[in-house]
Amino acid sequence: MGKNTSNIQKRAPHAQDPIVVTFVGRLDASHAPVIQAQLDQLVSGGVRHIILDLSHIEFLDSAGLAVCVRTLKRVQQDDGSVKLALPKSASARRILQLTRFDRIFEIVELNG
Amino acid sequence: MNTSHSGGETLRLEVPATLKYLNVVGACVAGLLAEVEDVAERDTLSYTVQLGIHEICTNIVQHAYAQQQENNRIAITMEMQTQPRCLCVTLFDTGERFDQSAAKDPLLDEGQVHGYGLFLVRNVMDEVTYSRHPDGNCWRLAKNL
Repeated sequence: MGKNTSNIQKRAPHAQDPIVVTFVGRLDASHAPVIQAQLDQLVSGGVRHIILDLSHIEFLDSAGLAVCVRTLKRVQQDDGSVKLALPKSASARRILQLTRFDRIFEIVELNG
Repeated sequence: MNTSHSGGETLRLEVPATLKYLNVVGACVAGLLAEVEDVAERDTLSYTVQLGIHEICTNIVQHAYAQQQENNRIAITMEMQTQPRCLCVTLFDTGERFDQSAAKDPLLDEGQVHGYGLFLVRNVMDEVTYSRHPDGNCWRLAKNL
């Protein structure tokens, strides 16, 4: 089983630039509460534009999807945005396609 | 693991109904499928079955056992069937009855916080059935190989 982490990878130089949060491992029901708390803390601290980097996740379930939507709804209250970098895992990507998250969220490509 | 009447092999496990054991169940699925020969796209199949079990277990923990605080268990049986060739999973709990009327599909053009769990299970598995028994709830999932 892989190690689960969520990292605030990059702080943007300008206030309007997004912060990238990179997840590694499983974004699922057992890890979602901790990850949601970290994202809530970011938003409470004034961050409005976030890129959720899902490219390194191994497993994604409905609780992981809920983390993405909750964060989006929170920042939208202040005209913020949440964009997704798609998983490399084809199976995890399929979950985002089935639920049309690849249309609800703006999709971005990250270098590296 | 033992050989069942249908010619396949059966794995039985019983786990405490908490989310932290989901990884254990997932590892069992991956281990079981690793022993099966001639499986196309094994990793995809393993992910799919893990997701199906995962979502039902989460539903059981968060809903069936929501009001019941002690001795909550989930009994899981995974059976490799040969005719037809499929992996069948049953999950049994002794919690509250599942309210099927509350499980509506999500509105896919809007992002929703809730409602994707069973939607995903129904979309990735080949069979999903629920039945209420006098002593609990039984879910049956099947995925063709």
